[in-house]
Amino acid sequence: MTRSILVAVDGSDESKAAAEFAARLAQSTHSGLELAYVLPDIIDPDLGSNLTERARAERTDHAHIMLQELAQSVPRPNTSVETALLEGSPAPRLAQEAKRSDIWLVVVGHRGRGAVERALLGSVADRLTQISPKPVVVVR
Amino acid sequence: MNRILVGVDGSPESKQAAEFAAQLARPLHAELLLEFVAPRPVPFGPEPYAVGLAEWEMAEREYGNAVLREMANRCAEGGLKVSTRFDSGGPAETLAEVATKEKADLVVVGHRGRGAVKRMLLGSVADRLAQISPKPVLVFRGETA
Repeated sequence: MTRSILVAVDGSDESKAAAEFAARLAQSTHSGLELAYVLPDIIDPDLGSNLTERARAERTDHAHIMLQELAQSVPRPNTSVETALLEGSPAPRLAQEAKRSDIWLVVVGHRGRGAVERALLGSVADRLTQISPKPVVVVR
Repeated sequence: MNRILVGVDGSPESKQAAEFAAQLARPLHAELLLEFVAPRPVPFGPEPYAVGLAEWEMAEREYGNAVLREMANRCAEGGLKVSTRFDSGGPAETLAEVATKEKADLVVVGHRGRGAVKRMLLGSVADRLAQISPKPVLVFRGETA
């Protein structure tokens, strides 16, 4: 089984830097690369329910496009690059994914999106270093 | 990746972190720089305690150098190039500074380390380092963490 590096991405510049760092490391350690984006659960307070089907579909499309673009742009000689679209609360969902036996390292950008959410909950990176079952590299 | 900086403090988790860093460094042909940072103590107070402070610093230096020797020996297996540094100051701040000064490509630290009480009050060195380090920070959590 090929060992892989899991990279948390969200379209931010920091997460692109994280993906590039991980791609270089994957190459020199003969690892696979898996780019994962977590669609956060969002509850619309006005509707009192989850996003509408249409908004959800749009969001999913955007995420797919972002992942594909990133997968094309990272340096990838001899590295297998896969993408994964996950759903849930980002840090716990990524920690769950990191449990997979082929994942040996998790790489995440320091900030990522959502200034308000970060101020309230701390960054995904901070939370992930506390709960991840595998070592986490935080890239600025 | 040419140089990996590892913060060691003698805790079991930091030893595991150093071993992980050594395993990572070998296939990359990178060198390892092990750094022990003696944290500055809370001011000991007036006169009679000044002696205590000097003794504390000496004890810390002795302990730090012993930890560095042990870890350097352990990591140097397999022909890995290992060097060591001892500094005193704020652990996260010092590691971030040294990472730049020594042109490290990655900084590796254990998630917990010494000083449980201080950590509860101030947050872990790893958290702080991830926030201020100009270089990527690898946070290693031990099996027992």
